[in-house]
Amino acid sequence: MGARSNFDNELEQLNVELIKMGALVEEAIKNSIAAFKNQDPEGAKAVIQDDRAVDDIEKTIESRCLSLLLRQQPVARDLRAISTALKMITDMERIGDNAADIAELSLRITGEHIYTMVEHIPNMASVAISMVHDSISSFVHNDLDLAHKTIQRDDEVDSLFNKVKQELIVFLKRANDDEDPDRAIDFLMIAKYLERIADHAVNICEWVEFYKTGEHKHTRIL
Amino acid sequence: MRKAIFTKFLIVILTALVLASGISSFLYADSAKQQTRQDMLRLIQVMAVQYQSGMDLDAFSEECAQSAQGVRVTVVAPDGRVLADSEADPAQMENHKEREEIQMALETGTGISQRNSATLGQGLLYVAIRLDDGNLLRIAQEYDGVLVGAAKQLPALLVAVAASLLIALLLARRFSDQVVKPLNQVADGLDQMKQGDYQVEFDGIRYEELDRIVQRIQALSREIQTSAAKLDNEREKVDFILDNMEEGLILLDEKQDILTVNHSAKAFFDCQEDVVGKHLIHLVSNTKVGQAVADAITGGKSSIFDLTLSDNRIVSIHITQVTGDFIRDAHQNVGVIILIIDVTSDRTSYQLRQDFFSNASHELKTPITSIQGFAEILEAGIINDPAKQQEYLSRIIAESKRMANLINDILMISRLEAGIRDEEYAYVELSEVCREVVENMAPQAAAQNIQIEVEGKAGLWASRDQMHELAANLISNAVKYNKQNGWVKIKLTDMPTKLKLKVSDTGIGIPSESQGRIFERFYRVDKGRSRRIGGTGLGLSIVKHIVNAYGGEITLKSIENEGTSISVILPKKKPQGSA
Repeated sequence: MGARSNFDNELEQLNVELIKMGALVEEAIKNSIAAFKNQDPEGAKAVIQDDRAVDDIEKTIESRCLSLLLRQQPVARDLRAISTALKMITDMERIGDNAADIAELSLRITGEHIYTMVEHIPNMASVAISMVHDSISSFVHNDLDLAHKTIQRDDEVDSLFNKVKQELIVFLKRANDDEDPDRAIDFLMIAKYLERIADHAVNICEWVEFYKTGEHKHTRIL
Repeated sequence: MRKAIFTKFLIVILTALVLASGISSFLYADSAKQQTRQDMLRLIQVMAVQYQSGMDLDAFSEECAQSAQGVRVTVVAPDGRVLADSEADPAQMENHKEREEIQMALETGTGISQRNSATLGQGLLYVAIRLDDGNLLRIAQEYDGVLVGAAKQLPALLVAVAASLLIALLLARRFSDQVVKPLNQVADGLDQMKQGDYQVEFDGIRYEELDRIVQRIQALSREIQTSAAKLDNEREKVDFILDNMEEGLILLDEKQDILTVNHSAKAFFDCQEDVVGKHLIHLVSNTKVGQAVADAITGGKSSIFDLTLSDNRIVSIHITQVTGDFIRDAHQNVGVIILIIDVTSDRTSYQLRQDFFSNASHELKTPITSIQGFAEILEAGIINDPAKQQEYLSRIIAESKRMANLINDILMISRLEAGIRDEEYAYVELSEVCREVVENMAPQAAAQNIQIEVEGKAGLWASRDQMHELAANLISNAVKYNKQNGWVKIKLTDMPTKLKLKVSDTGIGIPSESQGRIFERFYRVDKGRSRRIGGTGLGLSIVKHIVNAYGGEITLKSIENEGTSISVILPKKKPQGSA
């Protein structure tokens, strides 16, 4: 009993750190999009700086997971919980990197803002942020339903990405000077990064599915 | 306890029974022995009467033994020689002189003895007497002694013991039940109290000793009841306050686990699950809050900052370190209180005021710049054409008027924001006010050939100036933003407690995307046009302010290029105490 509740305590600690890491990457996306919208180079630099904090917490969680594996030698569900956490942090770290990439791109974008012409980007960002949030809470609350719903929301992001692409095509056709195509490509990349972030959130959800059922993408692993 | 009492009862009863029956059977056996002796003495005396000296002793003994069944009769000579015996051959028998009963009979005339007969080998009681001729007559009867006699009673005794034991058992059970019952009652009452029901009554307790205990318990339970009620009351009060305050409150321990959280706090962070006992991060995942809480716990640093929530509300977050013994398993008794206050309206009204100032100064700057420009040109004396000079002067005057209008409107708005005063109230006939306004507007209306109709009659208690302002703004907008040969209809409807003023026009209309914003200060659908007409951008904002100040309603219906209709509903109420 003592060992069991000890393990549960450690798992709760792990949950807390996962939520913390999730909050960090969510804020990173939010801030990178805000920096992009407001053309705020300081904000963008702060996002790039803060990515180090995401990397740090990833290392912390990683070593916590490994030490749990070593010391508690968990089996079945507990083992899946820890391996899921290990997979999740990799995806979260990638999300953080993507947010930093968006911030870096927004540093390059100057001059008259054409973001109004691609107004779906902030919508993409808000869907992506909530997907990241839900994917982590589906793990923390063992909520398989939420994980499934989050996976389905990827379609929303994909269709928004297509809309952004169409808008940019229209924009490029009208573009006449040398600078506009360059910016259009930056915008497309930002949209692509957001689409990638949503994909990582889907990955996390698939690992939550594995944690609950032992199946990853309908293949029995454990 | 019941069992113990029952067992003790049984032990007492059993001991008493065994002792009583043992002693009584012994006594009984003893008295039986006495009885036997008496009987034998009587028997031997009867036999002695029949004895005659020199008779046939063998026949005598046989006869006697026959008449008294089960008795052995022996005649012994004084020297101990057996003369006759009813059962054995006297010649074979040894000398009886040394026998105890014979000795006694020789000495005292009668002898009694009890022993095992050497001749017959069984327990016998012997009685002997001295006969008249000196011979001795002895009879012997089987006798087993007191113990064996008592043992013979055993079966009957056992039945009696069993029967009385059974009765005793039943009684013992009943009595022990009776003794234990009040104790059980007390115990049940205490159990009830433990479960939180303090209305315990103890009925039917008849023991004085228990009565004191019961009284103490009842007094205690009453005390507990009142203090529990007091505590409940306090807790309810605290819970009520916590759950009904608009501010969110979270109390954390050293490990950032939530000790207390109220409804508002959970509502702010859109949390439905029960988070008490869990880490703060399950409720608030914001990293800024997490950092501030960590700083407060480790460094005792308080902090206040604004946070924009996911639903765009702005909250002010106050984080303070607290120390208290009640903060559980925290070796330093350190915790953190987080207070969350909704400051959305504060921040937005601040923002609005900021916007208003910057807009107002911008609006004021434009006429001043042109006035200054034209005045400088005139001062420099470069313009010699009198017509041109005249034109510049009239533009200076027009711009000054615009400024004056603007300042009047701004003042009007700030007056309205400060609130209207009742003493300005008088009965105002709104149709008169409207006609007055229409008369003033007549030149502008005529210029575009616009027909204006005023229909209906309604009055209310209000400030005449403000009603004039309201009607003037609505009607002048209807005229100014109208088309050539259009019309304006002003319709007044009198209702029991309210009145309705509806101004419809055939004007340019308001685009649907702007309809939500036209009551904002300085908002213009078409900036150029408005300025040309001489608007300040404050007209409809003033209308809205006046309507709000009177607690009325304003509705807008507009189709672009077809016309606009604005309805204002105002309460007519006559202020109390005003004539």
